Amino acid sequence: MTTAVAASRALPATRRVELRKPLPTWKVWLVRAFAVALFAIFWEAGANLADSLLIPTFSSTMVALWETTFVTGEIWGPLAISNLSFLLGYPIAVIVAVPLGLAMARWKRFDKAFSPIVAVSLALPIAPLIPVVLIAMGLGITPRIFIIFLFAWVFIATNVRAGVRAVDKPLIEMASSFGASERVIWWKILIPGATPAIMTGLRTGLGRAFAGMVIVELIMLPVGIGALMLDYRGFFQADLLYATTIAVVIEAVVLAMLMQRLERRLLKWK
Amino acid sequence: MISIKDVSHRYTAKGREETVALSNVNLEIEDNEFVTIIGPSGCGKTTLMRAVGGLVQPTEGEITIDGQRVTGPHQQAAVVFQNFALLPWASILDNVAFGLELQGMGKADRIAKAEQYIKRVGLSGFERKYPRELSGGMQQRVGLARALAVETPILLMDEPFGALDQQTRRYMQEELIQIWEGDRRTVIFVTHDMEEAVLLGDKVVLMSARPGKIEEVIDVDIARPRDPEAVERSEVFAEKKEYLWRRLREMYQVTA
Amino acid sequence: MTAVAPTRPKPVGVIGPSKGVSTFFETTSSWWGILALLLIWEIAGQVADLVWLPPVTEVIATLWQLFVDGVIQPHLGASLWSLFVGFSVSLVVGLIVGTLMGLSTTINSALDIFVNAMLFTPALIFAPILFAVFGLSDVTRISVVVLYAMFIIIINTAEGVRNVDDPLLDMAASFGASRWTAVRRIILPSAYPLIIAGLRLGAGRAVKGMINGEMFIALIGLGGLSASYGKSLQFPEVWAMALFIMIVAIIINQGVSIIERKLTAWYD
Ligand SMILES: Nc1ncnc2c1ncn2[C@@H]1O[C@H](COP(=O)(O)OP(=O)(O)O)[C@@H](O)[C@H]1O
Ligand SMILES: [Mg+2]
Repeated sequence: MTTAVAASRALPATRRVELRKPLPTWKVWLVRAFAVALFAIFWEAGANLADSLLIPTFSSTMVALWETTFVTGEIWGPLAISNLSFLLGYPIAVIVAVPLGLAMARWKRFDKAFSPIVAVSLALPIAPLIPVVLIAMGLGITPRIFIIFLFAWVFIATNVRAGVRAVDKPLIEMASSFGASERVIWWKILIPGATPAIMTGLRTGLGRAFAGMVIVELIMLPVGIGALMLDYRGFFQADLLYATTIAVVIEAVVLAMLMQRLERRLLKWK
Repeated sequence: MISIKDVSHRYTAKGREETVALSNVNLEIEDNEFVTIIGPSGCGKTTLMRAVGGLVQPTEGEITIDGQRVTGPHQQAAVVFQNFALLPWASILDNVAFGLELQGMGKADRIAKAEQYIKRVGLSGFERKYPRELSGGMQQRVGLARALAVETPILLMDEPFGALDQQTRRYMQEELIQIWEGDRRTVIFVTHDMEEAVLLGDKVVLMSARPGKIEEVIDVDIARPRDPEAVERSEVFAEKKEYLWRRLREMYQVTA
Repeated sequence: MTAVAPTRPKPVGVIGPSKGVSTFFETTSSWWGILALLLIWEIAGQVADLVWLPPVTEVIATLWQLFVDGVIQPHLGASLWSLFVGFSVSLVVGLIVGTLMGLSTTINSALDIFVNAMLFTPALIFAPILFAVFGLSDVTRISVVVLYAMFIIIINTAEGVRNVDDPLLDMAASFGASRWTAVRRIILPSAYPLIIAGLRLGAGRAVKGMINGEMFIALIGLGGLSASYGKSLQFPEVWAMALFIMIVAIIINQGVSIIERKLTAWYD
């Protein structure tokens, strides 16, 4: 027996496409940092090239963001005014829509009674009707709360309803066969089973409520952050306008992340 | 000839401890041999087969086919997958012709050839159907036809009938014997079914649980062509099956 | 027995009911309910005699009049044009960027924070900037549409691409597919249902962006017309516009759903 001396040739080979090959975490963050840096550089260079009153550089925007939050604190008052209506409108929507969705899922009659309203609310554009709400409810915070409620409730209700509906029928039958009461069925089966969909509804509703807050203030009732932005635009304070926009984006992202946290905690069993 | 030399493989997944799937596997498979691989689940059968197909690059050792090293997916072997791996959006004809198309064969030629193999696996008349319209057994025939059609010297089959019900599986085994005895390619056939291993194989490779090792290579001296019914009634069959069962049971007692 | 036969994947980043209800017609369990609502509206409008709640008959008559006088038509045209252009841009950019993000973990890491941030953020927040830069031109309104529609298309396309069945990639490799062939023959076809779902969601958002953007500028388009009536407190016109916008949105959604069903008929 002789050991093969000649180095064996390799068979011609193709390469398999790998889509989910995870990058190491440090690399992910490196790439992200690089992308953000690139974005900043392009912005800076583009703004310098354009040399327009309306396009601030990245650096001046960041400075403005710093100043409006920590130096002058100009942003906090308007931000608080806006968020107050949001922080009232969204919980009201949740308190109304979750029980409504649950009831619609379980009781035919409830479903029949409310489904036309749900259908219309899903389709009806709210923004054009904002003037109606303003005249009906006056100019205080109430109409803004109500509009935010209107933006959010139907998405919460439909998701909750769909979630409960989707709970496995055999599970409910199994529980009934063991003599479970309606109460037990609710707490042990329907609500846990529907939790993912309920969370989807809450998350979607949160996004809608936040959008409602922005939309009212920008298109009909300039108060809070919307009014601030329109002022900056009017006075050609582009750096502050951009900075405020970024602040709102940051708030939206923070809200989404908080919601995701909550969702993860509640859905640990999945 | 396929030659597997000192092959070991470790899977390293982020955040988990590494798994030794193969350790020091040595195996030689002659041309035109039908080899079945059996062993407890998780013992590395799939990994070994994928390594031969170039779908897994072993961390150590070398696999050669006729003296050429396997470094990635190659055209010496065609694979029949456990879950069929059919394109749901393509007709049966297009599925069977897929490999031929990738080889760059012209349209008329590949259709002719695909039709020939569709007939061979008994699916004539289903060319225009889609996979979802076919039963599991029929879907696996498509997988088989696709692999046969590229006419590679080697066929790799990973529990190809594992997802089928008992009767269908039995029926497919008979057909596979017939088809194989028709053109005798080199086959590596992974299974967890002892009867299947003995019925089909010229050799049964018995692997043991982690770390994946070859315990024994058992010759199945049953003459070809094989008549499945006769084989099953034969003494050799019962004996080999019995032996496999004893060996496998020992392994379970060790691990369980 | 089913094989690789994939179940229809659920779209990601869904804003709106995720299951069950997807269109107005599917939600409406009974037309009688809708009729009853209209009746209540009519009676309330007649009896209460509130300036902000004209009876439905008056609203419909107003809408009719807006058509007869030819007030709505040019605005409808302008709206649909910006919707069309905005959606087309979202489609092209969304498909390309989404595919790249799905294929490459590096590109995905580079872009995912931007895309997700834009998906969470109410896109109208960018309207003041767009208006400052592009003024009253069509570009402003079209950009709002794009900001509303594009990111959900990107996300769904990327998810669809990533969703491809692993054994199919093994299969392609073992039969000698090049990377490009695998993308064309395996990855894109299997991403297709999610891509189409993303387009449907994108279309819905595009309509919202169209109306909201126009309302912000308050000059052109259905939203613009509606905003100007709102500012001058012409409530029958406000309701008429809301009704009309709803009808347009329903028709577009319905059309898109039908196209979606046609395009994915082979899937299940
Ligand atoms: N892609 C993978 N990543 C990590 N571990 C794997 C992977 N594939 C298989 N394994 C592990 O390797 C071992 C052998 O797997 P496999 O070859 O699939 O065994 P078998 O086909 O005999 O059931 C098992 O413990 C399995 O969990
Ligand atoms: Mg296996």
